[in-house]
Amino acid sequence: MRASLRFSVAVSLLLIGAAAPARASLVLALDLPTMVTRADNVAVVDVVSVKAGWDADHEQILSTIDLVVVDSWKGSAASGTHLTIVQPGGTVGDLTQTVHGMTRFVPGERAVVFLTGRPEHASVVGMAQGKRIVARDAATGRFVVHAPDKAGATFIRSTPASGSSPVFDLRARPLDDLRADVRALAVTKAAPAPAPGAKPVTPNGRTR
Amino acid sequence: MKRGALMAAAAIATLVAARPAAGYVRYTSDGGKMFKWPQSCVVMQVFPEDLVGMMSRSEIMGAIEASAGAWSKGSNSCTYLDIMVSSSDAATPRAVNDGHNNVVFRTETWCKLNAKNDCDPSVAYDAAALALTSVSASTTSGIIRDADIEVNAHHFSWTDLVMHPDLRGAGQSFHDLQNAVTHEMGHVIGLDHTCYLQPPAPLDDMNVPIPSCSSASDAVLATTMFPSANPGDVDKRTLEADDIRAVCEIYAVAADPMTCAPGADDPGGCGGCTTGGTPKTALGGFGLLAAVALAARAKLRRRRR
Repeated sequence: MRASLRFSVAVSLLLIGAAAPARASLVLALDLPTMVTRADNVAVVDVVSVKAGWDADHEQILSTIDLVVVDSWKGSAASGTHLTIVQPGGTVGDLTQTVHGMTRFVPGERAVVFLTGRPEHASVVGMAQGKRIVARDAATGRFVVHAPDKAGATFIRSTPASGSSPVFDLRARPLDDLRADVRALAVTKAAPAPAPGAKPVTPNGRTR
Repeated sequence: MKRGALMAAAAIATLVAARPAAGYVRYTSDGGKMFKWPQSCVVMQVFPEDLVGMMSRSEIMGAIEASAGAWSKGSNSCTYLDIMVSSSDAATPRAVNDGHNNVVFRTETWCKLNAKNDCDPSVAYDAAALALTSVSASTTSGIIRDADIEVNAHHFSWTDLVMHPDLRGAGQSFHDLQNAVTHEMGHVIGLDHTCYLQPPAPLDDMNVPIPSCSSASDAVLATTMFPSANPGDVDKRTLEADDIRAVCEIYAVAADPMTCAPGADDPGGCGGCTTGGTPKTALGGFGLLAAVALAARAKLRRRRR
């Protein structure tokens, strides 16, 4: 009976695990030190506006996101200054262009963002990993930083054979804790950011 | 003992019942319309030449054909959808909404390209992205007009890990092309994730809020319910039950539109557009079918007059 019980449990657990989610764009998971190293600006921001429009060639829709800095954790963007993100995708008239994995922004929301590039043409580090919603926790009254919105991306682990390790921190964290970690990492003379992927080597040893 | 077995069975049944819904989720436009191709077949043009330094041409085409085939009627008799793959030796096109669905390999640059094939300095692609899928659809109808997959071969190494198992495991960082493109093909046909990270929870196909990814236990994070994979992963080459149900319900064989003419039901679509030119292609079958369909339609119109 014990054996059949074990069998039932095993079958049931197999059934539970059988259904996989629909898949999405693939993005390499980045840990916090890498995120901080790759970011030119890390800040708490308020999303002021999101506007979509055609690119110069009238071929692709681009979204322009205007952010105002509330609290800068890394970089030269002072409180009250504006940062602008430009990224593919958006809706213009009867055309919706979706680039899976791009971060979604909603006017009025507050978030911690990890941005690279010039302040007027910034992009989000690690795609959707680089934006984390800030909200007040109802139970404690403290501000917490939510897990990143993956916005359709599928994150993979950066190193093989690390099946038991979490891809990245998925749980909400107190804002103060994350600020302290980011500021500590920002002042640390960090090693150069690891290459996002492998050095391109062909299976037969040829390099590109 | 019998009572114990019953209690265990009941506990398992409760566990299963309490488990978050695992339905499929479809992308919706800003107008709230679900993404869907209007025709029976979706043609994907592959430009393998850029990747031949990394994989053989047959490996590349084999991977893309298998990825497309996984979602197609050949593998799933309950659907009419047929993702048809052809190769082209023409110059690699850009990923734009031109009515041509392309799979391209970006080896030289990883950025948004402008009309001159230069990187647009105002829009960066993140180096952490292994692949990007862009889907253009009607806001008011949800009808998909164009889909392009860009594979990042500028920062990452691709191979067929089943044919080259020595490239899997510790110390290796090769990615399996078929594994990745099978994911992307799910996007191409209009699918979204089945777990969420920021409320409100989207509804799945059964109108049940999908589970939160962030509150999942460690055990769940380690399962296939959590959308992650290791380098070397080939598990996602094959569809799971929900994936199959998605393609079979969205593109159910009983509702086959019986046409391969793109944009047939989409007045604002690209049914007759010729933007971007026609690359050299092994697409004879589809071209012939479309030509026959158009000729028959013209004949019918003449008769009506």
